[in-house]
Amino acid sequence: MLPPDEELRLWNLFKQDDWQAYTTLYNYYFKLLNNYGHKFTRDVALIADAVQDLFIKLWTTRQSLGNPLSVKNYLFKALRSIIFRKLHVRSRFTSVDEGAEAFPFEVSFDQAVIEDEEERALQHKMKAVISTLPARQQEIVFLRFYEGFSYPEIADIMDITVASTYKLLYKALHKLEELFKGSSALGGTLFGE
Amino acid sequence: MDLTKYASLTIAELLEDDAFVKSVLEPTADSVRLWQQVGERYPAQKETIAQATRLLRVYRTQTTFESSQQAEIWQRIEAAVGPTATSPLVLPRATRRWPRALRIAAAVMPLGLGSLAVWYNQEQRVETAFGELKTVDLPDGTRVVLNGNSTLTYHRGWGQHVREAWLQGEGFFKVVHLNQDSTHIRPGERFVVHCNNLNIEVLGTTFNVVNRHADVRVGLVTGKIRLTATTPAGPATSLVLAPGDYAKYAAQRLALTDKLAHPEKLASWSKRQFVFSNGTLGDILKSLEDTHGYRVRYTRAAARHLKIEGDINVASVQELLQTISTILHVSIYQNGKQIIVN
Repeated sequence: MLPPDEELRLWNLFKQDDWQAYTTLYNYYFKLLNNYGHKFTRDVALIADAVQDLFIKLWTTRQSLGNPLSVKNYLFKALRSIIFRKLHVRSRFTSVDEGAEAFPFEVSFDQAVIEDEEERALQHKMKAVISTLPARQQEIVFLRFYEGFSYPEIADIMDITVASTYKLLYKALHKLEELFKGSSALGGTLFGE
Repeated sequence: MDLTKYASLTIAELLEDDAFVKSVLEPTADSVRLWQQVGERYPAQKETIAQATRLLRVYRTQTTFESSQQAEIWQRIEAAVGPTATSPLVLPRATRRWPRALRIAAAVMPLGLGSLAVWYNQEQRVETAFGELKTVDLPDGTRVVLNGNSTLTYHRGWGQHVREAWLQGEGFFKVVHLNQDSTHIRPGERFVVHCNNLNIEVLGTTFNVVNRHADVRVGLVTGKIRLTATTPAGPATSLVLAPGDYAKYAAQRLALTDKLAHPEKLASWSKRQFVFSNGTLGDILKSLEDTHGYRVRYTRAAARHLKIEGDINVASVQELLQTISTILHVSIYQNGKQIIVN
């Protein structure tokens, strides 16, 4: 994690046309942004284009940029909206259900190898529970527990109020809590939805 | 710190707590000690804390996606907005000094307006010699890198009108995007490159154009462009390119010929690199003739069609010839500007 004051220093240099600072920001955030994008779509070329668009836009508009809550939250927010726009344009050609709930969000545990047996069992159950959560709940869990964003940052990224952020996370946590309440409760969560 | 609020929290409530989440995501000696204290003071909470911690830890074992394109996407960004390798050529403003009397006359008489119009519409012409690169900054901030043996012309008077430029040879364009509202495009926001009968119309993009030997090849790196071919007889044909598209206009036919996996390589020549992908010997040496003024002779004409699979990326003509000769097992002799392939 880049220390907040270092991040801010780079951001200010970049806004004053410092190509080196811009390069550093790119290299630092490239992987995180791609990983986030990959949760919305498996189309690697689309993610690559979105990241490219994001950084080109960033450089061309650098002089009119303000100071965000954090650089990381700003980049996540911007990437999210670019990816949504691209997915939206594509969906106009491939699907007809206009009212469908925005875009999917999916984390995967495919390659995770866990030594501890208890944790491995927990992971197995977690996969099942998480896949039942609506996309936006999955996303908020990711932003909070994987990326460590604060509530106001998440609200900004997902374009909702801070109060809604609390509510949305609370719903997801309620389901996750069931992981520890024995297998019958879990069964209820899995098949009762 | 007040620990009482942790006396009876549930797993969900712990996971809502900023201090708790932070201590699992980025533990410090202090935070570890804090949670030990909470556990000691409220033994009944120990299991809850352990479960919430395990939940976070297991969640974070998820698969991360590692993109392998970090360098490649950077190259594209650099090609679009980065500083170019050659230093910009500063075009002389009209500095011709008029005799004092005439200057006064120009200032006081309507002739002043006339001469201003002449100055505005004056044709600007930038040429490069063989092997020379020039970077041209146009009045709107658009930057064009000209390859060797190329000519770019434009009028100084841009503003209300369409931005127009004429190209012979090869140029890499980074067109400044002026349009704010894509549903309402003003004429001055368009940029058109004219190559013989082909017009390349853009708003703000990066692309490479080669206009030589009566055919035009256009490759798009970022953005979107429209090609329109005007034929003396018959209707105009047009084609919209997406990034990576490579189109060719020859013998009055306009067609997409390729989808480039690495369109950013189109700009490699502007950094004085020689980059070729899956080219034939004939194509590669032809580009040396076109941009560097070499004369190439083949002792066997069939040699032109020898193909080099994969990429060549070198920094000099010597290195290029050496590489080709090694890969294709042909002898290449160079004598000044003369190249002979045996």
